[in-house]
Amino acid sequence: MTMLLFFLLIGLFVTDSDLAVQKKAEMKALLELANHHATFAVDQELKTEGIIELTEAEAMAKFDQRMLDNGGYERVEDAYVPSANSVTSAPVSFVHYYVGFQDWRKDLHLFVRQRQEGLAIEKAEDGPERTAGGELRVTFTTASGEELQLAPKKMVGPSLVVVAFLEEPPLVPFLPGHAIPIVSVEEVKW
Amino acid sequence: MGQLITTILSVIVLLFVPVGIVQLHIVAQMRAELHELSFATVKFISNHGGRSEAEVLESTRAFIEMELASKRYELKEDELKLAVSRTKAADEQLWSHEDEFTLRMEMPFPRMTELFPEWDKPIVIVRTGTINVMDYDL
Repeated sequence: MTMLLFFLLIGLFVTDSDLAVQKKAEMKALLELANHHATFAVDQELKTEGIIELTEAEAMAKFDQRMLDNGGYERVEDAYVPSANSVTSAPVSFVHYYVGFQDWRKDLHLFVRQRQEGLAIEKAEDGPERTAGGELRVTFTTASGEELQLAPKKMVGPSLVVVAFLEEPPLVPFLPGHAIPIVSVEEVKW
Repeated sequence: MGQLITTILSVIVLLFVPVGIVQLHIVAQMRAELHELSFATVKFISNHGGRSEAEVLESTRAFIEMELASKRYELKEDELKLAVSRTKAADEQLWSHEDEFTLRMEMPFPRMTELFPEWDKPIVIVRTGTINVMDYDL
């Protein structure tokens, strides 16, 4: 009987981390699909003058729409609140940053911090310019002060960057929870 | 008498729990695969568009076939039901820039035991996407 319980415990651990990986993958997909749609919000007036700029308010409205369509997440202030059939169960806080027409060739390092009221960009550091497009780095600091480095991304045009933070309670109360920052970068579509 | 009941109960627990866990695991895995596949398919349609609905459907089917063959999916193609429809269209025929579509994928419940009939519901995923191809690229 003890052996059985022991194996069940191991099984729980494995299932728990398995589920966390799946949730992360799905959240990444949702953000990417929403961001893809959001980057269609190009300023039509500037476009006639040959300048490609994003209308941020419209872009975020489009983002919200796709989060709702594809994942059942509703936008409440600075977070996406899941519905009953969403993949995660806790609200996902997020922050967005637009890299414009002038800046997308420069490297960019974003410092995002988790605060009580949501995520905040503390600092955005520009780096040297590259002809092919800048590299985006994100350093994420959790509420408990833990610093997480996210995998660098390439920008290939003016881009909308969205950093989201997934905090999931574990499967069973005695396991540690999961805290996963996710970043999505999409170039403006025109 | 008490001992007999305890034995029967523990045998039932010993049987049900592992079978239930394995069944749940299979469902979670299938769902994850379907999520992944539908995401890849939406991206494929977004980046390719098409000259007509028939063409889009055909290339999507070919893409799914390729995905299933090249990756180690448990999913079977003949079990997969696929529907693609446009929700916003600029042109009658062309599926091009800024058109929106929904993709619906359905597969039967991956049943491995008859013990849990109430779980037996097909797995369905619906995704919405936007096409990013210009008319002149088609």
